[in-house]
Amino acid sequence: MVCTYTGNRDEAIVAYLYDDITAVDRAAFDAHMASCVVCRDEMAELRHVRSRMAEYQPPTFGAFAARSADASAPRPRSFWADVPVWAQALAAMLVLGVAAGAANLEIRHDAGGFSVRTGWIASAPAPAPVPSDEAPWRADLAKLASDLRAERATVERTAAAPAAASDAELLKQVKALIASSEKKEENELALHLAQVVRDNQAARNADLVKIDRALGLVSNNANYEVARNREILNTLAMRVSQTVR
Amino acid sequence: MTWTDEELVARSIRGDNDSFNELILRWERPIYALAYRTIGREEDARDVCQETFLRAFRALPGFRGQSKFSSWLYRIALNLCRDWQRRERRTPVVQPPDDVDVMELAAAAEPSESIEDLVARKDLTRIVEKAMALLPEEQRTAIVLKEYHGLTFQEIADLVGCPLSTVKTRLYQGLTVLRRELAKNQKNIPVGRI
Repeated sequence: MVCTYTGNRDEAIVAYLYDDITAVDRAAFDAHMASCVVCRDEMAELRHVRSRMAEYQPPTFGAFAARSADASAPRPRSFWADVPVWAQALAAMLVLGVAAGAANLEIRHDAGGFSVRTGWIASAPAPAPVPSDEAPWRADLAKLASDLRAERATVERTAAAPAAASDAELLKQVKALIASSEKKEENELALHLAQVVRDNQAARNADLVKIDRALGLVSNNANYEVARNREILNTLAMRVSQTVR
Repeated sequence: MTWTDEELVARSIRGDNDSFNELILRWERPIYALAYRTIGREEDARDVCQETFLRAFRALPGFRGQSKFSSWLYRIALNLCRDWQRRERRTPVVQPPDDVDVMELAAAAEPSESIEDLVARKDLTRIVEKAMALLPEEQRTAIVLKEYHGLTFQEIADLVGCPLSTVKTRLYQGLTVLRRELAKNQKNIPVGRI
């Protein structure tokens, strides 16, 4: 048997199923179903699906409240928990900059293209002399520390306002939320840093392999030259001895 | 006295933290359930739930009441779920069933429910969970919002930003997939448990 419903059947079935339908449309579809076994059967099956779906319940919820309670307990406060994301990113860049300097990183863009290499291949030209207590990153570090202090003061001012409220429970919950969020960001930052370190290590290993190959090539060439010279000397010696005889 | 969401929001904006606390208590379970049914991972659903209220708290002064507070909250949660799915680049994950822990089951059982009944109920949950995980994101979202949160078609359309008829079509298509998948597993369920 074929359904002869003239309207949008799918939409009508769903609207009827969830009773999210006008009285007029409901009456019209009731009348249709009275004579359409296809729609009747499908409606029965979809109702069965809905009854099965009622079994799909999420696991017990309670950790949120529990975490809020935990957050009220005194615990050592991480320095990073007070540091905003932008400052963490700036710190990461600073660390990378210092690491790149320590690794004698050389970045060049010339006619030969873009190249990056570390100082294990060749020693970099000596940097311009700077006083030992005026390293270039000190200014950045001082600026970062100043920014962090300013940001921390802002955060503390912001946190102080709600603290004045009568009920500290909400504040605890929000702090727990913020701590959780920043903990996540901290973890992500750590992951990124680990990735950078891994990349750096991989680049270093690649450089070492290249050096090894280049040295091997030079060594092979030298051995070949030595063997050839010996052969020439032997030939000359034989000729000289024959001439003497 | 029971305040409406809108009244609690207004009071929260004026600095009444009790009111926002009340909103959290009122909506944390529905938001957690929405996140869990959307992304299928308990721990991540909790994170999404917390992040939803954190964002709501931060954005509350900008909430002008153009929509219901619950719709606004749902939208934040759904966006976070979508971000999570994009970040993880994976479809909803159904948590692998652990070995059945009889003690845990016994603790979760209703007083009138036997362990056998409870195991059967858990099996049903798992089957529905797997079937839901097969649905495309937009169909699953429509079903979750309609079936488990009781939103009207119009509210869902406003929430996800699509026409009313699209919501109904997505629901119908999703239910059709679920019907097929549940029928496949029908034989695995002991007779009388369904």
